[in-house]
Amino acid sequence: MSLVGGGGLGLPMAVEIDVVNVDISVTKAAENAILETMSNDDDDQVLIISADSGGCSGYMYDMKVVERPEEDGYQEIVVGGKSILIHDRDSDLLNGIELDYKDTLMGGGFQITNPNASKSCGCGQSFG
Amino acid sequence: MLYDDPRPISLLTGHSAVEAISKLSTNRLSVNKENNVERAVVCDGSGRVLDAPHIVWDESGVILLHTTSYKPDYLKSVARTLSKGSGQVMDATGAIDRFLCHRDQCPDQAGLVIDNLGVMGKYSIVLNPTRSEKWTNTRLTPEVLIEIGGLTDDHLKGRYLPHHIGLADYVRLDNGCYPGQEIHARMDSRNPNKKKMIWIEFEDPPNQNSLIISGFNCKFITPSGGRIVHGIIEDSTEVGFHDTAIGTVNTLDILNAL
Repeated sequence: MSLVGGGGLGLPMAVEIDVVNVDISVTKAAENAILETMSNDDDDQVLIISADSGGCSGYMYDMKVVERPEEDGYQEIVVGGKSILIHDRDSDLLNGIELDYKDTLMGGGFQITNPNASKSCGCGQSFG
Repeated sequence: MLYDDPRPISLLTGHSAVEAISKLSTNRLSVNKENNVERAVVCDGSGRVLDAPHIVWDESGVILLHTTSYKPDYLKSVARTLSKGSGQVMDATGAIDRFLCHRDQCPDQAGLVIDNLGVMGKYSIVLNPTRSEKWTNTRLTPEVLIEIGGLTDDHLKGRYLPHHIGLADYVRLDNGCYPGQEIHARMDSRNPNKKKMIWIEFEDPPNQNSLIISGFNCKFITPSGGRIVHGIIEDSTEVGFHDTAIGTVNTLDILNAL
């Protein structure tokens, strides 16, 4: 059963986004970490970097290795032969980021420095 | 009496709709067909409440019953996230009948009822009730909301912590990062909440912004244009009748503000 009747539903909220050509930089440490992480993956596996609503500061980074998505709308950056995909709808938020990797026991892992962020949280996983 | 609640309703569609709102909320949400009603609390970066929508699972998506009188801004970032899949944020205000009522005066048969809300937990939200001529309905105003223990824009807009307006139970620190989480975590470990929101009835409308009740200073958080206001006071204060400098006042707990 649905509470939403046939009529009265408004139009979808418009999401205006300036799609830009994404340019990111990846440090040597991050490139090595990507190659190591994806070394046993098939060629159709890609790394997707995205920014979703949430986190301490409004948007939260997400990184995942998945099978190459079938749908359009992603921009591809190749690093060391591995593909990094960023969705067009994240392009204005993630353009210009620097992806680094810190090999430390506390707070280690991939780190993103984002020139589009006016604020970020202490753990570095979200920005606004 | 049914109060016709004009506050906006949103419908989130797409497979990641629950996750999208959960990442902004002070608590982890898991609404589904079996567990079809939960409540989210969305705060700003200072941990103060922007909205506290009830979240209703529906075949067509996830329904947000906003407590604000306007469409909250955070929906834009949710819409952006959902748009990367096949999801959308839609205005469902005109598609769902939303009422508030005293639990003894609600329709017998209703589409969906959310109970134990408002003053002393005696009020309910009713969605799509079966229409009956015996029920009269009147439009919900901020004054009525204050009378029955609801949230108005005076409670929201980033003015108060959830702990201070009856929403402390929804602050769970197992949901990872969310806007305001650092503030709430610090409170949890260093400065536990010791305040609560109460309903106060005066003999005459007060012309002040606070009052000493039972030895504690009670700050009013709603405009004092009428005989009833909401105030924040030490949580050890017992509700009931109190003699004060401006006469006897009646106080009640607001459980789970509407």
